[in-house]
Amino acid sequence: MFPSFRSPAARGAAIGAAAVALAGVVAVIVRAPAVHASTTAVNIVGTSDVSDSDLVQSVLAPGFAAAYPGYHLNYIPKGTGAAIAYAESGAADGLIVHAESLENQFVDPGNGRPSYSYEPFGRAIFYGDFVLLGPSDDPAGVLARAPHDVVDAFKDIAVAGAAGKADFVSRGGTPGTTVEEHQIWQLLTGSGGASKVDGLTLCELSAADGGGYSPSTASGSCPASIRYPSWYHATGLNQGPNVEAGDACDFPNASRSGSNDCYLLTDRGTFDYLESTHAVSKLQVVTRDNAANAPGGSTLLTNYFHAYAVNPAAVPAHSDIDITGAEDFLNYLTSPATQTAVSAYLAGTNGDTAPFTGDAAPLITASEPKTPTTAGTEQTIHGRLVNVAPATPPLASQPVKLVVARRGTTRTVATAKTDATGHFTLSFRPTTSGVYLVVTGRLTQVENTALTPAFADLLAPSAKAIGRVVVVRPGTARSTR
Amino acid sequence: MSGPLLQARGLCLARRRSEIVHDVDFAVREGEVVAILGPNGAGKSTLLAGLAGELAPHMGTVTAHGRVALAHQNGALAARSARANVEVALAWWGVPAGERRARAMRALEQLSAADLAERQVATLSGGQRRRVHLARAVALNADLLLLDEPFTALDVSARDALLDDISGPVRTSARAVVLVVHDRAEAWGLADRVVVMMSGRLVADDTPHALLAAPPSPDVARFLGFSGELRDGDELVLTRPAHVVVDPSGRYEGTVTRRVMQEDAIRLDVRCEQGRLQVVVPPPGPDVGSALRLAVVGGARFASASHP
Amino acid sequence: MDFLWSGIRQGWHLLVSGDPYLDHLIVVTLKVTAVSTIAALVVGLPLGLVIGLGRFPGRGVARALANIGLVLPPVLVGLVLSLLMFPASPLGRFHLLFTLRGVYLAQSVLALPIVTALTASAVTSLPEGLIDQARAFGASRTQQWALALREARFGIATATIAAVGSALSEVGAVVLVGGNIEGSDQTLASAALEKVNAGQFAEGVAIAIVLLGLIVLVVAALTALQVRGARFTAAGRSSA
Repeated sequence: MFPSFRSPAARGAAIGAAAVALAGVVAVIVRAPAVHASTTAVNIVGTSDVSDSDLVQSVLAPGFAAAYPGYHLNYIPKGTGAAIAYAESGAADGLIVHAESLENQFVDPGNGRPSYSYEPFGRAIFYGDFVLLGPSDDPAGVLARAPHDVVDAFKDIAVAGAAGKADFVSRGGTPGTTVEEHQIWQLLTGSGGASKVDGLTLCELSAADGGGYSPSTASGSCPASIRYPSWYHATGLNQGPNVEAGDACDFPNASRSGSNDCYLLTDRGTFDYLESTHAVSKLQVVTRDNAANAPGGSTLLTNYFHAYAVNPAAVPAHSDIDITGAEDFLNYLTSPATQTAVSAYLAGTNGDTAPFTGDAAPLITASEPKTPTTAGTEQTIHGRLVNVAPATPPLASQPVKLVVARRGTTRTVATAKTDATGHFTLSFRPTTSGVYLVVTGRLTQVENTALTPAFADLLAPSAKAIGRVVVVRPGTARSTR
Repeated sequence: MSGPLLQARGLCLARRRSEIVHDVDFAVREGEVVAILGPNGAGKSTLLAGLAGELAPHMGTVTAHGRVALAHQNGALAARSARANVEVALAWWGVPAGERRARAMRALEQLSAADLAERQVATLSGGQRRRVHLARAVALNADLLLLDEPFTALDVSARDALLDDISGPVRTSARAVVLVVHDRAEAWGLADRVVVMMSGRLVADDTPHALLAAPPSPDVARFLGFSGELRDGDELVLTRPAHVVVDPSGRYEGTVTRRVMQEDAIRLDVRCEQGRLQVVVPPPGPDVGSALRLAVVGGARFASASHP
Repeated sequence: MDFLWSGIRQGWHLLVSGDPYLDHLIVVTLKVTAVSTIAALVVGLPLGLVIGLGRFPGRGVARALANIGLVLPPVLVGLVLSLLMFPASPLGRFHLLFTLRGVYLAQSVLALPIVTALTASAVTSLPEGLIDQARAFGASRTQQWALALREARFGIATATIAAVGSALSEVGAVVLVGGNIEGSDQTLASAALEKVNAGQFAEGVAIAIVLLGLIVLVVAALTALQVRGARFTAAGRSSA
């Protein structure tokens, strides 16, 4: 590989080049300062779904640095379970995860221990969705038969798999996607956990493994190492590479129909990103947006993300949690500008909607006020407070306010609470001209009572301008400015 | 003359907890060149290590007046020039930097290796390396220089040339020299005094001439090349080939059992009634199986009781 | 798959355009390499000399430990170190987890047995009697070590190159201890890993190609110095 340096001149040249190269290396080290020399790192540990889809690098890191110039974001990508373990050990200032059944224990560890969350609950930040991918020739016929019924789609794949016409690629292990997949297989079991599908055997996973069921060669409880049917492949890969493995669909004992017959479950953000980089060529979405009347209902494929600041009092001493930085990051995440940017990220890729949708703050709809009006004349605003995240419980008994904004100050003119379906009625007698807004403060909302402890989250304050009201004094026709 | 330069009393030396050198009393005086001779495994190198202080005595004492340098049998050289090797040895010895070069060159000259001074060691032959190694030892001007088998693994001509070259420097480079040698010829050429070591003990200590004339025991005699062995009445007679001549009126009648060709002569092994003898004759010499009469004109005689 | 080709083009483009992201990766990689190699040499050379030349009980055990360290899985080292760096752990109060300093430490720990074991092996295989003779001629401990280092320089250069190579290409421990944070302690190798995990194959290839170029440059430079040092041992071109 290297010349033998026969002549002194060649040897000298080689040594000179080597010395210059080493000097260059030293110069680079000495010269270049650290990129973030002057800013403080906020360490956020979180699901790799958020970084593998490039959302962190494209939107969150630059946005946070711009909005809070004293800080920069250190995003440490881990699986959800691992991320929570790191946060509980005090290794990070904040956390972004998507597993309600683990998050509720982060907030309430039990046994009288303090909450690992600095705030009463986690903040809703955005949601995404899982999609079922399949090959373009779709040998199981999923796209035609079950485009919005993922349970039925799984059944079709299992039947086609048993017939040697299709394969299923799972990430294996216990990442969120696999746990989600196991919940879907569970919906194909009848009484006693027996499979309702001919030719499909399912075993039951322990709660520690996230519960649910997995295809197997034997029923009952799954052993530590499951023996899968020949059409089912567990790769152990991360989200992106797993999709790529399904795209290649090149398994030693893959079914006999030839290549290009793999199906797999993934999150839409990853798939959209891979499509945008042309890393995927054969796979397409065959099932998404589970229908409300399909098994599992419309929430089955929804993927809710929450963010937490780590409670310095709960983690070990010496943890050095930067709670101000963490809170600033959460405020940045839930700010309207960030929410808009997240919702716009990758929107329109392949003509699809955005993979992530901001849901930090509830949506307010309200009737318009009457204007112009005579001072002191009562009027009533009817409206509704809705959680942006789909298939969440109604925002019941939440306080709403009507305020008037004038010359940079606001004044509350009416308050109300929402009813069981999130509707509210605000009655007021306007005395001041100005812009009237319906606003909510930070709301605490119980989202899932099926879990123990129940899972709740925080919704960011929201405001909706319902219109400018011009108040006319009684007996005069002249309006105030 | 003041006391000896080096004195060992009751010296016992052990390696890996097994005693190899037993109860040695030995002294080296100013101006002496002493050769230690002995068969393989006799403990010669171990004794040298003990004299040099590399190996602590198991029992007994070693007292040295002055600095002792030991040149190992396998004195590997560093991968640099011959002169640099000598100079670095001088640096180890503590010689000021300014003197090293001249002393190194002088030592190389003494060993007829001045023309090798700037050669890289890797380019030197085995004999040339040995010269550089010995030049290192000579350059030190130690009070007592110990040389462990300085001539091993050399072909005959290289060894003879080195022997010639070293006999002068060895005498001038130190106040006294002790060398371990494997081959008797080296000892005769260099030493004032020869010490024979067997099975960890000193069994002879005398001038070369005296030793050859009167070896103290049959074992020493055999080691010194007394290869003929006869029983003559109550006596055991040991002879070197030079002590035996072909004589038609000789006292011993025997049969040739083996012919060994030498450079310009033939050595015959002869078996006779009283024992066996070796004799050197000019070519062509008698064939194996021929009858021969021999006379013994010297040799060492021992009382029969000392025969093993 | 034309990722390879587009990766090559992208890598070239990143390089010539002076992309700050890539610059930072290169700087972090070189810093990790320099710090860990120097630390490993400072500690590992004396250790290797003692193990290779010393005569003390337990020397065989020490040599075996160094050799085990040589093949220690980086993931294991990273795991143990990161657990030690957790806030409640012994190293927690130094705040090393997810920092560049932590990566320096982890990579130094990985490089140390490489330097130690290869140095010990290099000085052990020196010509028999070389050091003994130096001692017999009055060489001090320091002079014996200097001689051993000088004579074993080819092997020690190999140890240095191995330590540098380990630092340039290591991902397991770097990711576990450093967290693989972009813009902070991400190196070229761990960035390539992250890009591939995220399905950004062309970017992964681009970074890998830059890394490969850096490895060739650095190792070629070290090899040229090694060859220069070895010139004296091998080739006889003296005119005498």
